[in-house]
Amino acid sequence: MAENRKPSIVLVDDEEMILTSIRTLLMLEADYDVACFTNPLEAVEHLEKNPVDVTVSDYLMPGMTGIQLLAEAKRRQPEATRVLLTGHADKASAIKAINEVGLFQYLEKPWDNAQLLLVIQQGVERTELLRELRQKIMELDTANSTLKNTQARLLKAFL
Amino acid sequence: MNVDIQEEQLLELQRQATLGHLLASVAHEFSAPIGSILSNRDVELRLLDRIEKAVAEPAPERVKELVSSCRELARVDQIAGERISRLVRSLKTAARVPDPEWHRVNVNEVVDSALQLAKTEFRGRIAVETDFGPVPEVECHPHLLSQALLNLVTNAGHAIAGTGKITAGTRQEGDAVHIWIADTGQGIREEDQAKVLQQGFTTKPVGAGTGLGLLIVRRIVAEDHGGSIGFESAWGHGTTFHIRIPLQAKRKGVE
Repeated sequence: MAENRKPSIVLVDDEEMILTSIRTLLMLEADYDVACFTNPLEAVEHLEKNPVDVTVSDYLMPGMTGIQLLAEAKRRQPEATRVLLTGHADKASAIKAINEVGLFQYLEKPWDNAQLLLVIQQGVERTELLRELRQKIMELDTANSTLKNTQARLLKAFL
Repeated sequence: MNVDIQEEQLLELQRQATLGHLLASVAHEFSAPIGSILSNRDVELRLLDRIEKAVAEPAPERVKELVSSCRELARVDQIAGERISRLVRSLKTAARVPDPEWHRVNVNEVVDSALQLAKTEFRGRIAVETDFGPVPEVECHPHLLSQALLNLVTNAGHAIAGTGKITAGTRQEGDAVHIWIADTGQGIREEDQAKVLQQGFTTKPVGAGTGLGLLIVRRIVAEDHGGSIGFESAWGHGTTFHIRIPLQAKRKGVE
């Protein structure tokens, strides 16, 4: 990671107890900055201002569904990883989420901690890789246009 | 299929429908607390490991005892929590919201959730065995299929007066999946066999059955899914219902 910060995780669930459970797990087993929100609108505000590596969201919440929230997350930080953690059995909404918001993983409650840790860890790595890739592409673009300029100047000099 | 439903049956159906809807949201309500409890239990075990390591080596006997008691409780919580979460999953499968779309599902999961739910009613009295084969996914309306199987499994349970056994199995047969539900119950009298799949036939006392259960199963299997239903029964020995659901939906009307 460029600025050497801790990976940043956003957890969104209208149930405080879910947030407490996952935050405690992450604090014990990983070294992340964890921001928790019971209000999805506040989560969107956070995503607006802070770089985030992984967003884990509930599906059914007052004010906004998990899919709407993750769509907002995608618009603001497309490289960041998006995970839906839901107690809703509705597979159709999962498929919709995968297609519409580029979902990385769909997990059902009750979840398995080992699996959740792995998904978040893989999500962090994925985000880092995508950001690096974007950086490299930008560098390549710059190098490419420098080359083109040089080529043009060379042609001018010789013709 | 035109069904002439009596007012009494209609009331019973309405009551069941209301309960069904309620059940779906109740199951959903359970997800968060049980998820939290199971997760915390796991984290508590992880914490105990750390505490044991953090206490001076070698840990005093008393500390070892206390930590070991906590582990024992966490182990019991795990078993208790998983039992609740299995039930919640079965409830969610059974109480699916009606959906006009076709979905591909694993029939074994649908049969298993029906068995898990029925077990709660027949606990201790009826043993349940499964013989699931490897089956491809079936294109179906999961909420309907789930209801049909739940009807068959609870019927099987009601057919058994004392103790007995329900066996459920699945196999692929050509371009269909064959599902069977067998019980070791009283069986169906020969003279009743022709009437079993007709409307309003019930041997249950008033209030215990609407006589619509098998009719609904037949409708779901044959009309909604283009499958077939049949049974074999020997009075005194039990009944086996066979349903066959095509792998590819045979859609009604124009698509």
